[in-house]
Amino acid sequence: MNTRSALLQAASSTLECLGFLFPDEELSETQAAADRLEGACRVRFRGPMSGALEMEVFGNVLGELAANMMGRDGPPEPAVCREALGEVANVVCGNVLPAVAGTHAVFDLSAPETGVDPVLRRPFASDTVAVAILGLGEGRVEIALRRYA
Amino acid sequence: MAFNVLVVDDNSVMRTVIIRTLRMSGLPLGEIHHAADGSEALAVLRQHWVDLALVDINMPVMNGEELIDRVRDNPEMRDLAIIVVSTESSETRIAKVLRQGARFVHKPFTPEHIRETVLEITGVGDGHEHEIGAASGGEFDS
Repeated sequence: MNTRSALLQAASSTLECLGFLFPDEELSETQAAADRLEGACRVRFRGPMSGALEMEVFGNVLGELAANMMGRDGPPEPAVCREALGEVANVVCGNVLPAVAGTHAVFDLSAPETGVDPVLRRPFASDTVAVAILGLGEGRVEIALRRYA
Repeated sequence: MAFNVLVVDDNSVMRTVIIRTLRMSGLPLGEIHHAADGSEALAVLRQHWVDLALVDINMPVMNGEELIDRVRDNPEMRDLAIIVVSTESSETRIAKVLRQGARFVHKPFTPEHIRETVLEITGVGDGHEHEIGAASGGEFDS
């Protein structure tokens, strides 16, 4: 399995199991056009390789994701939404690293940094290992795995 | 039998997810306590009877591995059933958790997986629990 496939699989299973949302690998026009950044998050890792998993959510998705995770009818307050995004990024990161480095590799993950500046506006940067984009409701989630030199 | 449960995770959303998943699993739940790190968890364990603890590994103040060590060193707590719920994928670290007498559930998880692991570690038969998806009566107590 290549890294992008591993990233897609980790993100899909995490969003399904934790958020009860079922992502699409092919974006609809609405999903592709969603341009309002709802949240951004970074989880740094250190081990046999160092880097970060970065995630951004566009459209009107984050409130539904957090509400589903919490079992609420409506979206929770913004701080809780950010915490939910951080946990999703943390779980995706923890699941994709063994696919890249093997299950014997030991990594230390940082606490998720949420509310960071938009992080994915350089998708072709030299440290980008893989990028995954998934449609979600009327928005989308973009995830990048970066490897620091 | 209803399980008194302690959920230990520094992320409040994940604590809620775990409690929600426990309820969805159909396991009979009694008191539900929660703590944001190992130190808080020990304080809860000193004050309440807990049958089962679901514990994250990476937490500030006191992480999950140290919490399990402290529990196993305490004669009044050492037999506590502990399930580590973590994103950890390193076989080395998972093996250490298992040597500490805990079970391991990888995030993300399903109600079925949680249920199977709880029944396995507690040794309780699968005869008195509700069907998957049925509501159970647990409440937030701390």
